[in-house]
Amino acid sequence: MKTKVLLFGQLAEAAAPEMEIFDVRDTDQLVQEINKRFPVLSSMHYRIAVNKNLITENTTLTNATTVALLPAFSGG
Amino acid sequence: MNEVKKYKNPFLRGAIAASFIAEKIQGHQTKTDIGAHSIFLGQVRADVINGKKVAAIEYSAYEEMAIEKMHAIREETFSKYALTCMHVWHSLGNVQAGEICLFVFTSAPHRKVATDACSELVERIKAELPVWGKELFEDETHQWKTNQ
Repeated sequence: MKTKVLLFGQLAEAAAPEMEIFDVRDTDQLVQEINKRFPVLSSMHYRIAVNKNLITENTTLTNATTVALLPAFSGG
Repeated sequence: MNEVKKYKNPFLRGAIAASFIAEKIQGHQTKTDIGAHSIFLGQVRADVINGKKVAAIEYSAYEEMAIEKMHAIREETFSKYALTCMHVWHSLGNVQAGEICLFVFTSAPHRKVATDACSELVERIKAELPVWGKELFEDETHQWKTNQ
């Protein structure tokens, strides 16, 4: 199972703008995996959107899920 | 799959020109049930941070999510306020200090509705749209903007 991960702002700059993560069940596992690849992200603050919806707790991932890591918004 | 396409896209590349704003105002003169327009214009400020001056802001967004979110904000604002029209444009890419990066335009029969809705829209856009500003300094270094 493949999860597409999009990163924005300072997170994209520090790590990569996107990546693919395989065989993770939920967002907690996904974050662990991402932190292994990019340790710099483990100390950065962000919110998570699963298929464009912000989540506030660990969320199960199904196939064809897009997860976005969103630093604090600063539009306008 | 192309569900997003039916929503209005608030983004345009680069700065929002004064002539563009003038055209939008002109375009509403045929709508004679309108008695009040409220306009908010966000302008890039040349902040000085640790002795370095901001020359421009480079905006990026999670566009698909932002377009959906803007649609939801639009619907909620229309159901809360008796507006005749509501328009929002936000820049992406580079906007120089002194140029306009956000244009929010509400119209209603009477002023209070137009001004209240405009003000609430600006706050919601800043807080809820997945948009990021990178402040580019004159010496080509940068920092990520934070909203107050």
